[in-house]
Order: sequence, then C-alpha cells, then structure tokens
Amino acid sequence: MGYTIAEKILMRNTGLDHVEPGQIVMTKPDCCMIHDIYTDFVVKKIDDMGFKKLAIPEKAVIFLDHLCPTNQASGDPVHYHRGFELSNRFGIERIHAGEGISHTLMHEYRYALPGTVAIATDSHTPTYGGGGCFCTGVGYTEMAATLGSGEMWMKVPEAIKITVEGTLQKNVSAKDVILTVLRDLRSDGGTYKSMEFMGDTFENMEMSGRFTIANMSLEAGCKTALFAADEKTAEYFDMPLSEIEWVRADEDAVYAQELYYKAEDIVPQLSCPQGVDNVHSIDEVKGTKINEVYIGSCTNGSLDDMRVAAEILEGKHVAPYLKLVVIPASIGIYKQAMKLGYIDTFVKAGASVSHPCCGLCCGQPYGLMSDGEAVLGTNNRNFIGRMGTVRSLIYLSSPATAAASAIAGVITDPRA
Amino acid sequence: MEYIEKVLGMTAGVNVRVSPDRILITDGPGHEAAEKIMGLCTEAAFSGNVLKGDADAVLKSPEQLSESVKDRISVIFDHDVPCGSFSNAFIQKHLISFAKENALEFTQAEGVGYQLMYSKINSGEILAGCGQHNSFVGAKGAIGISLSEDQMAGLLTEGSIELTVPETIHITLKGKLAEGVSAYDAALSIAAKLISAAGGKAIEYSDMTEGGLSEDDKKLICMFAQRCGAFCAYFGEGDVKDAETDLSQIRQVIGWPAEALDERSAVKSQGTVKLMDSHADVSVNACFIGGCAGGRIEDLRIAAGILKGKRIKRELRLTIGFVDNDTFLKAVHEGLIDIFFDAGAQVTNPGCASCRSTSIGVIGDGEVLATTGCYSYRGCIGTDNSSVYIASVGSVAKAALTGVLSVN
Amino acid sequence: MEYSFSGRIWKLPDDVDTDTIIPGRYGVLPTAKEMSKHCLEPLRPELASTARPGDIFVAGKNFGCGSSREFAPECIKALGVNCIIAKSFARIFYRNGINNGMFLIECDDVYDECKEGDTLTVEVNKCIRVNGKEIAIKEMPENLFEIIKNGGLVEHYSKMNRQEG
Repeated sequence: MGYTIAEKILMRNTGLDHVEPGQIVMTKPDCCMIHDIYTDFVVKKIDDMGFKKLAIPEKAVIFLDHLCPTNQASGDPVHYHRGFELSNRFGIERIHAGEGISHTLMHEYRYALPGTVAIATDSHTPTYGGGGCFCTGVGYTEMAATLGSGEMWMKVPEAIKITVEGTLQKNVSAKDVILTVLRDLRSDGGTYKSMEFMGDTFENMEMSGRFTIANMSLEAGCKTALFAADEKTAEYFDMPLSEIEWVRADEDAVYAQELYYKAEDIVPQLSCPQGVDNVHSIDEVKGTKINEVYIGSCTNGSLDDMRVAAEILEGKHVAPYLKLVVIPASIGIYKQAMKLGYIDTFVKAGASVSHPCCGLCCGQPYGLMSDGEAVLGTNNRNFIGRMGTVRSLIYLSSPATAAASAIAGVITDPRA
Repeated sequence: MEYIEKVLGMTAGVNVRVSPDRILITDGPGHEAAEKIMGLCTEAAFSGNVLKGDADAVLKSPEQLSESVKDRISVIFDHDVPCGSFSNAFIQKHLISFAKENALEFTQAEGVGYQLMYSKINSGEILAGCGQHNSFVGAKGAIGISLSEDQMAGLLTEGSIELTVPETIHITLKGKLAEGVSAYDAALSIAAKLISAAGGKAIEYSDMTEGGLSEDDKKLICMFAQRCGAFCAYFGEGDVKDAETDLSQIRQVIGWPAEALDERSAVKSQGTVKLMDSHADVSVNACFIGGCAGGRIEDLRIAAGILKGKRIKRELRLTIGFVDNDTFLKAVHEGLIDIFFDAGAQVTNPGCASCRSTSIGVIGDGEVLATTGCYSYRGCIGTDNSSVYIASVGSVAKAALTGVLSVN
Repeated sequence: MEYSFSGRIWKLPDDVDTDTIIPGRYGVLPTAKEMSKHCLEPLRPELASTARPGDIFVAGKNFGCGSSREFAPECIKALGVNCIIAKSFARIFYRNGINNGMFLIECDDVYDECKEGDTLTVEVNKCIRVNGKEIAIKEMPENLFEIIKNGGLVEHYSKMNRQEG
C-alpha cells in the first residue's frame, strides 16, 4: 500500500514499517529549535521538570530573532540572555543571535534536512516542509519535555493533496498560490493534517517559493506541510539526490481530501482584515489606500522575493507619505541583495532597509501603525492589533503586489 | 560687528524679532509644537506606550499656521523610523496630516534631520528647531538655535520669534589631534570646559589647526558645544581671540552616565557629563555606533578597520547605524556592511536609531551600553536601571570586541 | 482530581486566535498571572477583571488558532478558567492546553444550547449537562488524560525525575 510523504518520514524516524492516520507514535526529533520569545520559558520548564541535563543537546538550536534587535527594554534583553543561559547550561552549541529569522535559517543553515523530523517553539515551523522536512510547532513545555527526554509523541496525520499544474502568470507567485488554497480551505481546513503539494508548477518552482507555501500552510491549521525532495532540493541542501529521493508520496498514497488548481487561473490574492483566510482577489481590493508597505518575513523575505520587489521598484519612488520597510530574512540574503544592487534600489525608492529579523510581522518595531492606518505586508498573519493598534488594518500579499502598491500608494495589481 | 549681530540685525543685548530661514520639525523634537497647533497632545493621550483615552481627540481648537513660514518648514522623520511604539505611530500619523494639509516639505527614511538640513541651509542663515544639536549647521557658518516647544509653537503661528541678541565668545582651535584621538573626544572635552563661560552666548570658533578640520569634525564640535547652554556655536572667519584650545592636548575620553532627572533636564545637563580620560574600564553588554555623531562614513570606516576579520564578544550586542542614505550606500559599496555582519553586528537603517530611546538596541536592567550617541542620562536608551557611556567610535568598536570600554 | 465540575459560562466566537487571547507585546510580562490581566483584551476587554475561578469558556470552531504561544492557555488558566469546550481547537493550542493540565473538550453540540452566564456541568469523559440537556462527549485518548490527571506535563516529568533521583 502507498504512503503519504508525512507517513514515510514518520516511518523512517520511528523505525516502524507501517503507520496509519490517527495512530500515536513516539518520534525522536532530529532537530529542535527554540527562539528568543520562548528561551526564558524553556529554561524555566526544564528546571521545573527537574531535568539536570538534556537528552539531545546536539540536536537543539537556538535563534535570537524575534526580539533582536531589542525593542522592549523591560523584557527583550532578559530573553536574549536566557538564550545564552540555555546554551551555556545545557551544552547547546548552536546559538545564533541576530543573524536572521529562525525559520529561514533553519533551511539556509541546513539544520532541517529533507526526510527528517523537526520541531520548534513557533507556529510557522512547517516552513521547512518546502524542503521535505516533517516539521511542526510546539509549546515550550512540550519543547522542554522533548529536549529532556529525547522523544515526543505524535499522532500520524491525515493528509490533503494539493495539485497545481501549469505556468503561473508574470508577477503571480507562490504567495498567491497558497492564499488561493487558504481561501478554499479556510483557517481550520487543514487542522491536524499534512498538506502535501504536487504537480509540475511546484516541480518548476524555486525553493524559496516552496518554503513560502509551506510556511503559510500553517494558517490553515496544518500539522505539517510537505513537498517532495527533487533535484532542486538536493542542490539547495548540497545532498546527493539518491539520499533523499524517497521523500515523495507513493502513487497510491491515500489522501483524505484532494484539491486541484490550474496555475494559469491563479491571480494575485490578498488576505484582508482581519483574518488570514479572508482572502480576496486583486480585483476586489485594488485601489484601497494604504499607509505602509512591509516587505520581509520568513514567508517572503528570500533573495527571490527581494529580486521581485527590486525589479518593480527599480528607478521608481514610493507614493508621497507612504512608508516602505524592507527587511531581508537573513544576513546571507542581505549580503547577496547588496551585491546585486537591490539594497541600492530599495533605498533610492524611499525604503528603510533594516536588520534581518522578524520585526513588524509579530508586532515588534519596524513600522507600527496607528488608529485608522493600513499596512500591506508580505508576512503571514493579519490578526487584529498584530502590527499596530487594534484599530489599524493589515493586508497580506506577495512581494510583487506589495512593491507595486508601494509605488501607487493604493493596493495595485502587479501584472499591470 | 560680531557675526551674530550681523545675522540677527541688532547689537548684543537687544531684543529682536527673527524669522528663521529654516525650521526643523521632527518626529522627536518639534512634534509637540506641531501638536499644539493641531490641538492634540500625545503626552496627554498616552501613558508610556498605553493609550489612555481617544488619542485622536482634538483637545482644543486648531490654530492657523502662519503663511510666511510654510515654505521654510521641513518636517523630517528621523527619530523612530520605522516606527516602534504606539505613541510614535500616533505622532507620525498626525505629523503627516500636518505636513499634507499645509503643503510642507516632508522627508522620511533619509537619515538624521540635522544632516539633511545641512545641505539645505547656507552660511549666515538661521535654523530653528527644538532639538539640542541644531548648531550642527554651525560647521558651515549657519546659525542653529534651539527653541522650546512653546517657542516653536509661537513661531509657527506668528511667523517670527523674539530673541535677545547674545554676546559672542571667540575660541581659537590650534594644533593637531594626536594619534588615536578623534574629533568626538575633542568635542566632548571642549564642551566640558565651556560650561561656565558659554551660557547664553554665541560661540565663534576659528579653525587654526594644523591641516584644518574636516566639515564633519566641525559639525561635532559645534553640536556638542551648544549643549552647554550656548545660544549657538559656529565656525567663523574672525580673528578675535578670547580663548584658545590646543587640540594636541586633547586625550581620549569617555562620557560617564549623567544623573537622570526628568528627561528635559537630563538632556540639558548633558553638557555637564563627567569625562574620564584614564583609569576607566567599564564592562559593557551592548554597543551602538551610529547617529549624527558616530554614523558618518569616516566613523564607519574606522569601525570596520577595527572589526574586520574579528567577532564581537559572545553575548554582546552591537548595533550599527548611519547618519544618512548616502553614507549607508557608501558603506554598502565599500563592503563595510559585510564586515559588520561578519563581526556579528546588527545593522539598522539611517536615522537617530539607538541614540536616544527609539525603537532598537535598547538595554535592560543591569545592562551597560557604550555608544557614539549624544546622550548618557539614565533611561535614555532603556530601563532606568541601565547605564550608558558615550565615547568615540574607536573606543566603542574596541569595546564590542573585548566587552570592556576603556581609554588609553 | 475532579471527575465532575460545574462553572459559569463565557461565550466566545469562532476563530479566537492567540493574538486575541494574549497580544504579543504582553509576552514579556514576567508571570502568567500578570499576563492574565490582559487575557482576551482586544475582544472582551471586561473579561479579565470579571472572570472568576471555575468559570468555563464555551467557544466556536478553531479556538486558539494562530501562534504557538503557550501563554495563551496559561493566561486563561491563570484567570481560573481550567475548562474550555469548543466546536474545535487549533492543534498547537490543544496540545499546549493539555500540557498545562486543562480540560479541553471538543464538542459541536454545546454551543447552541447555552448562553453567557448559564451554569454548565462537565462529567469528564462522559457528558455535559446544561439547561436541562445532557450532551455526550468523546473519551479522551489515554496518554492525554494521563497528562491532565497529573496536572500537566511539568508535573508529569518532575515526578518522574524525582523518582529517578
């Protein structure tokens, strides 16, 4: 019988030769990631649980990215130092402070590898599924227990198969694809499930697009989101394809639900206030006035995203009074963006380009909005009050839509 | 006739109505004056970062901006860009309306206001702002004066302001800075000596140094001098000499944390910061290089020279900023930013950045910051139980590597 | 360990996300007790100061969606609310809630049978009684019930680590 990508990875991890949805299995995660919002809490829980040492310190990694650069003086520095305490006390050697967004670095630094199981204290952990890694978000109590014991129970998820075939229109991208899917699945349509993406549109899609889609799949409530490992994956992770080509669903794998889309039919989409699944196509919202555009985040802060935005902004300037904030997702991406002239383009277009971090996406600094103002971001969440006061509005889109809108001062179709 | 008397049109001691050539309103100093005109008040609406009432409520009838000043005003966002608090988001939203409705020149995301005004103002012209460092423009012989928010509000509605023409004190700078000593050290040291002499006066510097001072160095010397209570500071051509300072005698200094009173007094007391030029070893948790006093291209080249190929101390945070976009892009093209990243620094956008309690690089209880910023009063860039030391870029960069701020 | 308990109901809608349960900027407050003062602030600003220990939340679908922040169930528990009955839960919230020893019960049929302020009784793993109606509930998987019985995952492991010496 055939297995889904998720089932295959769980079987490989647990050593079982058969699993089925609903079954509870005990996994040994290959990578456990903690970031700075939770460093303080993870340390406390490890101590509360009475673990004097961890079972798997070599599999752990700490990223200081949400609260770095420090913004709230009463708390951020505390979490920063706790990250180092976690590293020093428990022998976690891999600690990265202010190098970029954790979810981006987990694949850029090749910590979350194809075919492995990864957990992290953050909801958007499914991101690395773009590289065929079974990854899921957990709370800090769960993380402390897993670090201490080396294992974590998981329920084998049912799976949803999402097939997209054909070629996307110019300036229509991965973000628009996943927003289209979210429109149909809604915020709980993927709950507990493995969302698995297939079809030639994805086979031809660059890795950054796959990570975007896996990242945003979380907003449908998924447990994990997965792409098959192929040549692009092998090249990205510098691994021989023969080692990872098993990471793909069998022809006869069983899916609880199947969705199908033609790429040519996909148009620019936006999440509108105030729910990620409140998705509308560009024609329904174009012309809406915005006060700020934010280009960055683990969803769309890659070099490809910087390129798309730079191509549209080249030689242009943002609309009068509009604020544009551009934050490449990692130091590596920023360096490449400098070499390729993208940073020049952004600055000349009127942007504030700042240090790779999570920043505005989670309501940290970098562009908070006041009552009645609207921001358009390339990030992944637009809950009330997330990027400003509770009476500010958030739209989410692709980098192309965001860049085009920054020039016009209103939500704009990037295909025009 | 003294230069300042020529510019203001009256002799010292006489009151005169002045219409400044340029008026600077930022999202930091100056915003309160604009709010008075609009009938709003951020301080009343917010308690810290928490909204107490309806912030958008107009507290009193708006006033009319004088037509005569409209084309002299520059509204520049530099303090909290991108915006990092709800109160600043509120301020910026309303300043945008202010600028739009009155068709005022508006700039954001380009760097520190003083630096941007520098290229707009001419020698002999007057720049008025609510910040402490308008004499930045004194480097080119322009007169930068500091107004209170109430005075600024009056200027905006009446179109002119009454000032008393100050006396002038003439200081000649000679000699040459020793190896390892910078204009930042000179600026702090000279300012410290001027406290009693400079109150209310115009300070006219003459550059008789060996080799001459650079324009950027003159900016530093003027802006720090203003904080001693001087009316203004500038470089002039005069040959009168009341005092002279030999730059060769200047040593590296560190500015000690200033006693915090309320923020306004603490800022004004910065002129009295204690300076140490020896026997000073301070452990630091964080460093900042940037702002208008430490974010110029020469500063960044010095920092890069020290940091190249090395890593900052484990668990230490180093934030780097730029005085304006030109400097930022130069740093990009010269490969300085790669050096900063490789050293473990965090690199922010041009503006005031971490100089004074804006959004990033803040320090918490028990932490210590070494900065090229202008302020060291308690709580200026973090909690009340944190400490800030000011020093030249060379000292701060070295502190980032070792975790210790010291002078030779 | 109570196998039956009653409480006053607060009714919450569909898709209550974790940013609404506890806005991100409060995540740096030092204790769950302090955070609980801001619980559900964007949606029900009066709730945190008027909730009483033993109150029960009855919610629509997808309760706790959004971020993984564990302070979400923690601050609800710190308010004294240890039981949430929802049409469905988001998965990370569900796991976090169980790990904090809370009773999280998925049931479609309770929502329409009650209104805010009513008293509801839970018979664990059996049924819910409210307004004269008795509604059956599913049994919880044994391993999850173990964690709740022990008072949460921390208690579960600290007991184990103490025994190991």
